[in-house]
Amino acid sequence: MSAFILRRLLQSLFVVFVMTLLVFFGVNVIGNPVYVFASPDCNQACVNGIIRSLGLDRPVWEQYVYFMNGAVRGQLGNSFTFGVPAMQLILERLPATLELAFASLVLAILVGLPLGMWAGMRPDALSSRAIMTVSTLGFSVPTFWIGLILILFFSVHLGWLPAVGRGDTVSVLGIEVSFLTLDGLSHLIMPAFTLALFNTSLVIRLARAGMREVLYADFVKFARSKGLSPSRILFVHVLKNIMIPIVTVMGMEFGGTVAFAVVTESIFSWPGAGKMLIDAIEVLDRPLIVAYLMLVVVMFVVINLVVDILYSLLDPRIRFSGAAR
Amino acid sequence: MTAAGGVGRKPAADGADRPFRTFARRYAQSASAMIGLVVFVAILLLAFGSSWIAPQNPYDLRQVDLLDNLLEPGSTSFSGMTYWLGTDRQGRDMLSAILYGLRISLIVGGLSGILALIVGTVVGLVAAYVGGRTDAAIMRVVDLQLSIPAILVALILLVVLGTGVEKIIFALVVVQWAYFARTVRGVALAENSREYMDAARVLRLGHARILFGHLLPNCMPTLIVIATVQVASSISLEATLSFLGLGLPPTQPSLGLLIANGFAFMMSGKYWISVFPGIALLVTIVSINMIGDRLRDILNPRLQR
Repeated sequence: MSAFILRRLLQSLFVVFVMTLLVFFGVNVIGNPVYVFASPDCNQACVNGIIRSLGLDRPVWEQYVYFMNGAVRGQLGNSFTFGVPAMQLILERLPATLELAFASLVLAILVGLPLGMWAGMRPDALSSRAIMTVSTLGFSVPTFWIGLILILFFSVHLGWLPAVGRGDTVSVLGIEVSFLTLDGLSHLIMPAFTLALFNTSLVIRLARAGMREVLYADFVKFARSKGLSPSRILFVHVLKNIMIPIVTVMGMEFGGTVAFAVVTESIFSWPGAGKMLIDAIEVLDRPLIVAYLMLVVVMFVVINLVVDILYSLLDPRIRFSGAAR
Repeated sequence: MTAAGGVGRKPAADGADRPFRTFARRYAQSASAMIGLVVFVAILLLAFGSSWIAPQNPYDLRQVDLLDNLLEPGSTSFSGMTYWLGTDRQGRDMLSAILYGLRISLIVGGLSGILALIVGTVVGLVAAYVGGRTDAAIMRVVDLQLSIPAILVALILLVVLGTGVEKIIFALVVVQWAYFARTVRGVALAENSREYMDAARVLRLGHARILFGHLLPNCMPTLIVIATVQVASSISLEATLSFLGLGLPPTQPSLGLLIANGFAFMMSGKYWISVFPGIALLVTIVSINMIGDRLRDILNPRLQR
């Protein structure tokens, strides 16, 4: 067991190392941030000063060593545009992104679960087929355009919902959240829904497949023969069993949702880390780009690691098939 | 052009061949699949005939009148031309811009889909055929690639590479090849233990011949289905990346870029610049998926997703 965890841990560290190389060297090869900062009347001496202050006069590998040295201590350099540590900026914006991602996962389950269960109970009904068609679309249709249409309809046409920003926030344990104020909630609903479209489709699929399987399971037959009410069977026994894969998959999708929030945040000007990334890319604020990418990559690797270890604890077969490799 | 179109038209071209005729007949049994096919062929014709069909060349400055900017759908210009879908900020006819954009979207989506198919198929076949350590090593890379979301990989690559048609195609191939590799390996492993493969080995045929002459054709049904779905999703991903300003340069505006350009005007109620390219994108993707669904029903491969 510990050998398995150790091997997975080493693999994860290796992935993070490869990603730091890729991200750092990649980002440092493109563009020249000096031109972003140098004013038109800036002479050579002034340009040299900027280069020195940004550390751009050092060889790339030396910049990398410096960067890694800082990275392990959580310092990824100062943002070119803001002049403060990049990691601090990202972490300040992260709660907004996490709130959006979390809200979208909750929304995906709230919407997808009943729809999927319905489609699983009546697989041949017209309504079920409509639900499945919608879920197919949810996988393939570019959700950013759906976001635009939502803005057009609810913000521009009807004027019901705000299209930009987070709205009023409340501080909970030192973290600002939107979902506890009515204004914040009205700001949250459209971005969360847009971000949730993909996961909703996924939940519909999983719930439907789960229903089809669980409804014919012995324990359901037993519960029926015991004379339990259909609603109790459905909402207690069946629901519990189909929730297991859904919660697992949603956990694994969390990282992907955070990554995709880049798109949603750009559309709705949601002040999260993803919006900051796109702004940083526009002005080539390298430390900020690197900090964001590193944070998300590490988040990913950690999620995958935790999921794998939990799985191997629950299902020993995975451990042994891993050992065979 | 795209894998989907090629597959859809194949039965007609090889009508004399029995299996294909059966295939075509089965395909035609589904009304929605036929609608999808007709719509998709129409889109292909419109997109690749855009130079002749479009009312104007929206990127030829002599044909575009800046005074006609931001006109509503149905407006008429001084020169008597009707802008059925309105104009954008530069006074370009949106209908023409959409047709030209559609072509770029289809080229990028189709090319990246086909390239990813080739790379993934070769890798997957080799992994399944060689087996052992090679297989294990390849599959670890595939697992790794699939564990990181497509949008993040594409973002990193495009930040590193910059914008451009060849760059976004490269990014989309990197994002997609692993899907093909994993699926092909799964199918090929099952096929590898079949008798015809033993027969081929006993006959001492060359490895390349066994791989591409015997193993590959039997993996084709599965490949065709995932290729269809992947082309649709890569068109969608390209649009998303271009919308973020990370995909194609402004000189080669795909549908995603057109939508992004219109976004700024949406708040003031000028909906047409974003909405119509989006509808074109939606119809394209949905029609490809309708074709893909039917192909899956007929070919019935073991799909992972």
